[in-house]
Amino acid sequence: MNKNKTYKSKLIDIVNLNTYFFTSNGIVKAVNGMNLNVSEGEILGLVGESGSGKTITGYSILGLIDYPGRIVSGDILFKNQNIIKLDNNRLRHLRGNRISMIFQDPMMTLNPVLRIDTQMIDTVIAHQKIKYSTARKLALDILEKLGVDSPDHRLKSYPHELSGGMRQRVAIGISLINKPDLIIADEPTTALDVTIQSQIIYETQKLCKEIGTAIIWITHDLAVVAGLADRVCVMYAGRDVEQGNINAIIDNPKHPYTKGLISSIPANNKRKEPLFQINGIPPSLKDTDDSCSFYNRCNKSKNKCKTEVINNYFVNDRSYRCFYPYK
Amino acid sequence: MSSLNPYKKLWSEFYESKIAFLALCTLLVLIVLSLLSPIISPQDPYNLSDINIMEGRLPPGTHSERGYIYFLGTDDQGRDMLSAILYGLRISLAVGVASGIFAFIFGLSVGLFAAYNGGIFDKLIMRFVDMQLSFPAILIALILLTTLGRGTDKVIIALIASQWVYYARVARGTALTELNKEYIESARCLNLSKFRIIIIQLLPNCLPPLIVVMTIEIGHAIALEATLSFLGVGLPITKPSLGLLISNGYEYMLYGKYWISMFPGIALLILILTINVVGDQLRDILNPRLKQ
Amino acid sequence: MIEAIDVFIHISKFKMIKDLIKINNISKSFSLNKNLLETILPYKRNIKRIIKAVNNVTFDIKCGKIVGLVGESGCGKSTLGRIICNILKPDKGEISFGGNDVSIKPLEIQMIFQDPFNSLNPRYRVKNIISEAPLFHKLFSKKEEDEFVDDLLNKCGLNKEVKNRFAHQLSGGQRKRVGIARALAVKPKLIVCDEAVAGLDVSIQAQILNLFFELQNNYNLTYFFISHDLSVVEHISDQVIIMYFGSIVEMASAEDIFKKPNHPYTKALMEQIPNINKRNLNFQPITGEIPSATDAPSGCKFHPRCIFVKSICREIEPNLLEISPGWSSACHLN
Repeated sequence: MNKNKTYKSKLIDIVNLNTYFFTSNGIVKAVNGMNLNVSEGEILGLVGESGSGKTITGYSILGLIDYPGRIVSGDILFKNQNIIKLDNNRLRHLRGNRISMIFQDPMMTLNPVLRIDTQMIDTVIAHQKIKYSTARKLALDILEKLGVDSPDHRLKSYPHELSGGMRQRVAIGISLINKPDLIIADEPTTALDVTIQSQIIYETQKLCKEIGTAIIWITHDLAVVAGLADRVCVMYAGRDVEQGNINAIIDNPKHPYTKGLISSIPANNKRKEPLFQINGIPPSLKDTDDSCSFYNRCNKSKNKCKTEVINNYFVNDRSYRCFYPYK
Repeated sequence: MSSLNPYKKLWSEFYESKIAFLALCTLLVLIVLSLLSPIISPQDPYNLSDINIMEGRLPPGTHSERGYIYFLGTDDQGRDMLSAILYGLRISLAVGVASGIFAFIFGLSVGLFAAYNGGIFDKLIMRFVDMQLSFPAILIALILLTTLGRGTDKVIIALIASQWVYYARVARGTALTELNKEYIESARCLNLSKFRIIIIQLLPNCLPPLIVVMTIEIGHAIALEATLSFLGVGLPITKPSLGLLISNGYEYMLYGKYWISMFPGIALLILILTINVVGDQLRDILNPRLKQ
Repeated sequence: MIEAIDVFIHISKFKMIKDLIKINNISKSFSLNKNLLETILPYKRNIKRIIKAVNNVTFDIKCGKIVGLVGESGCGKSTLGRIICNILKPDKGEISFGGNDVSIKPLEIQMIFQDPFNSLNPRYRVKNIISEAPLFHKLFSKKEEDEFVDDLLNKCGLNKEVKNRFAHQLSGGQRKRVGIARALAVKPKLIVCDEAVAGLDVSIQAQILNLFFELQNNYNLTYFFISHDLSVVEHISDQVIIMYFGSIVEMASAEDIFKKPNHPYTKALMEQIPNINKRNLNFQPITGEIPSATDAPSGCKFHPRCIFVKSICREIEPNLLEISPGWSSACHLN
């Protein structure tokens, strides 16, 4: 692990991102002041529960936010270039080429009526000027590295002929084939069995280290991130509440939500005893403002938390958003 | 979480398409007109004492001896076209809706039965449905009418027999999907009776696509009945529907007396068109909801 | 004297651990639909498209205990759960309900489902979802309905005002609770939880699991907890069963099996689960996929993926044998 990462310029730096959805029921602040950064070749785990805005953050980076949503303000600097302002043409040059995405359902990537080789080769040819046969060799190569057995036969198949795990591997292959700088993986293994999940995490991790691709791995499972990531960012109600090195955060969480999450995990509780639970439910994203959104579920909260604007505090390459953090 | 009444939500989505809304209004107007036809039509076109054969084949706008205007002209028997159309609308709608409702009930029952029991029942019934679906509805209706003979009830039976298969197919498909869902398994686990599971739990969830089918099929039934009447095998002359009116006036088209055939035709067109547009819009708004 | 009383209490406690239900040699197969061609053409007629979902499974569930069933997709755990609840009928084998002085009726075995969307009838209000079955079985009268439903909602951590809402107006966690209330409404003795906390956020999962504990204490319930999540099963179970491809491969008390798993599949599963305390892993996953249901391997079903495989494993399927009291495993290496 490269210890000089802190001094490298960030591959992607999201500053104060706001993505709102303007619905007939009100404005839903899906992403509300999000900060995130990833260095080259680094694996960042983006952890949050459903409705925390992690998927929308991923979509915002790629410019995939459609009506009735839009990015209201903020900056996303990719290699020091602000990609929010880019027009569609230049964004298309980035997508699938420098930044790609893996979805939870591989059928969101794969076209059910096209063969696998057609889809993979199309992805290559769209961004690079190479011959068909070279592209096919690239596809074969990547499938092999991802642990797909009889890759030549698989290339000639259709998506419905493959199992769920195989499809996800192909989807990962499509996203990696152009050797992108960054991959956004949105819960890619959540729907898969534990054994297949391990295989895919292992293969993706190995391949990314080989190519030097950075990953933002979005998940609700802290345990997956613990084994895989270098750094972690915890999201709640549309923004980052804690971010930093994985060991530092898991062993010594500062934000009460992070601490609550870690304490609720069955493995961290005594067997057969009631689990630690965070009471209440996440807030509606229509009501959030700039003060702390965790206020009503936190056992350390005071009046200041409800009324004052809370920004990130920075300590030792970590950040957290709390007036009364744990030491 | 929205606590909006699901029906209000349905209505507001329907209203989004102005054309569909316009069609719905037109349809409602037509329905009201047809219901009120005995009251509002200038004459009763089937009361022989009311009509005057000497006033036959008069163009639209002619004044009658009795004081009213023949707004749409008269046919060869001297009947006021407007009155005939209003009465004809009534018959067409009545026959279409009646056959639609009964075909719906029968098709729904068969579809649910096939889906719930599965196995050999399902296969046999669905093969029969497939076979019938491969024939045009008009052909089936014609064959049935030649064996059944003439009469309003026979026509309605023929319409039901040619249409129930559309309902059965959709009902079975929807029922199969719903039967795989866990709330049905839960009902079995809770030891509820078969009746309760099929009629009270399953049936209401199969209705949305069937409502759409019904709307569109009523349009087809009206068109089918008009075709049969036009061909002369449909409703008896004592109950002339729009189809029969068109048929009667057909020969006069070449003589320039277009109004005898054309106005009933336009009325029929508007009726079927509005029903189809409303049905289309219903299908569009109910479909994505189903996927949710 | 005091020792005698102690011994007496000990023996009577021991006697109180009774069998609630016994599952004996249950098997269930599904046949894939043959299309028309395959029914007619003679050479295709013999294609057996039979999936053996559950293959000769035997175990007991004791009163007041939580039995955890672990397995991945295609192992037959959902089918087994539904057989116990009387939703599916087994092809072979039998289930004996109750024993010496314990009786249990089919209605007293209820299920909590995984999918919060599809497990509630979208046309029903919450009140009717919960009260339909007990009213049907005449467990209380129509007059007492409101009071009963309020009380039950309260015990499941829901506010009274959700009574009149439809399922789509509730959150995922709330729907789960309604499913639990519906199961509790008929006063069950055994609850089968089919992936009841899968897909829930960690904080909601903790709440629901704590609710399970609380209800067990208040209503003296027994649970059959089906899950693919080993960490949850480890936390709540007394007894654990591991299934692979339709058969039980290992069965033991929770403490034993998690300390020292015996079967290679169990060992592999334990190593695969992401654990928050294992950092910066070089994952070493087991290779291969779960075999397709129509393409069962010969001999031991796990042999293509087992690192300890021997030639006997390819030929003969191992039996589930007791390796120590209360601990069985199906592996030739024992």
